[in-house]
Amino acid sequence: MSDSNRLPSASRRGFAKSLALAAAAPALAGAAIALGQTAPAPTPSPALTPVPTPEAPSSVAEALTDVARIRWGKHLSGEQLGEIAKALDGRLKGAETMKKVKLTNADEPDVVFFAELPGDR
Amino acid sequence: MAPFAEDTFFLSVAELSKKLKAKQISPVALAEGYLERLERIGPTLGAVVTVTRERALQEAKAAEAEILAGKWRGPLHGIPYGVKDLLATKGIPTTWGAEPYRNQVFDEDATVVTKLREAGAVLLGKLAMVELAGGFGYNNADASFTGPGRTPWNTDFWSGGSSSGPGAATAAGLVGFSIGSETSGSIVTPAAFSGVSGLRPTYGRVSRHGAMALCWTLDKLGPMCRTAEDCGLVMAAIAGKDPLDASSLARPFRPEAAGAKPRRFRIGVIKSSTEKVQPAVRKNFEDALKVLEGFSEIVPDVAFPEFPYGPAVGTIVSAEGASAFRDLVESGRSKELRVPNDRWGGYAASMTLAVDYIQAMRLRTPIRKGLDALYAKFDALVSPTRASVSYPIGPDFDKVYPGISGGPSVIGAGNLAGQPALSVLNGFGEHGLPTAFQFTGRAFLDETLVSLGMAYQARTEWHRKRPSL
Repeated sequence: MSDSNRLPSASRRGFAKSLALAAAAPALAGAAIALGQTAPAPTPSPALTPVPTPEAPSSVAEALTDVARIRWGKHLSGEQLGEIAKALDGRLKGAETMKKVKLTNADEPDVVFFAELPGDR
Repeated sequence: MAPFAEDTFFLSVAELSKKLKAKQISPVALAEGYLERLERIGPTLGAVVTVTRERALQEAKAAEAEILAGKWRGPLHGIPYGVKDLLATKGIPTTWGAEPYRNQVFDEDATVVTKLREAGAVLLGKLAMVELAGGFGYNNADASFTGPGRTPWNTDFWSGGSSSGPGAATAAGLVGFSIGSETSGSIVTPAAFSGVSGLRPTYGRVSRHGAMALCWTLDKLGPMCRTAEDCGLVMAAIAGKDPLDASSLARPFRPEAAGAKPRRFRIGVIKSSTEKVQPAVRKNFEDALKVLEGFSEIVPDVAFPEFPYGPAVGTIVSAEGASAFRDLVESGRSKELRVPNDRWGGYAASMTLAVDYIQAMRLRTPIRKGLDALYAKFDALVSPTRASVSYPIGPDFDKVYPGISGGPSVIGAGNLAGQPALSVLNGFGEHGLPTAFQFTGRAFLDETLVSLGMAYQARTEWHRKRPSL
């Protein structure tokens, strides 16, 4: 069994429990990561917005977190895996938002590869 | 004891340069004075990692000899400065603000450091920063192995990040100017929270060779100074093509001619940018608009293009950052990072789907075109740099200012499009902390933003204020 397939320190049962605990907390991690390297914007006040019902991370977020657990679980606690699930859930929601922008087949990534020789640029 | 009155250390680069050129002050004495302040005050602000005393004095002595001999390299000759500790400096630790890299030493200088040495500037030290420039999603001011950066206006509060040391050190008169970096907000935010002028250059104008990579398609290096004019002076020294950085461009920075006939600018005010900001941020911004009206046509309520800026920036930073730090993350050493979020953030970032990263990169073209179509109608758009004053040291950011937000994601948008921004101090708010607004413009209009900042600062005194230390 390779390192990447070794059973991690956090068991599946513990992992599932951590996800449930994570779901009970406000989903903040996605917002923090979404702003990259500067300070995240504060979350809206409960006084100004309805208190959201805690949502469990989506099944896709849980599945991706399970991959993270399989690959790097020996470095992660159950609590950290729960945070990762929340972050991935936020990231997946962000990806859905990005998909709403209309792009055509011809719209390339804004990075162009050049088959150049050393010193060409 | 420094041989100068304290005022000297708060002079602008332009003012110091006149005195140095006229031989009214000695580069060595000036460097010694700043070194004393950096060593004495720097640690109390969490602003410094390594003081490069020996190198500083060598460079200052060389500058002094040249100036006395009549060889004048330009406005940075003999000016002491500091760099964010993500720029390589030969034989001196370059820590990236992170415990796992605490003993890292490179055998060459970053291109920016080389250019500043060639301009005659004097390197005083390596300045503190948020670990790994914040790429793993930090949510607390205590985010470096050197501890939290503290704004000198009220040391219970953060100096901003991720260029926390450059912001604090420049505001506190511990350096003549500094170099920071921005992937998404890391120059303009500490400029705002520390009350200095910070220029995020157009992507590609300043070589990043020798700088820590967080996100190759977003990282920029830029000046953090006490005045907008100084930002221009530093940019003139560091901008330009570098064969060691393929993203760098042959677009040298040429300040708009001094003494030229004053022109009237056209400035748009970004709609909804003050709706949910702190009252003092709004008032100070409105006061700044009145000043701008004195030399500009002001167009109110300019609608900002709607794109998913936050998700796009977050996806790109996560994917590129996870790749840049894959060794660290997979080794398990990210557990040595300071912020609990950063200890797991790299693993979450490593799960970014390739198709989502490509989608975000595809969005950058319509974002760039959409923004440019708007910005082409103006010399600049303005908005508060941050919706609030700085965050206190201690609580997580999201717990501090409920209900406060800044409208359109101008910082995220500008970084995705590679556009420049200049943040300048425009007053003070809660807890005696600075507020700021930013000029943002089309790519390669960095010079125009500097001119606008200079025109604003010629009519105000905010940039002359200094903290009690």
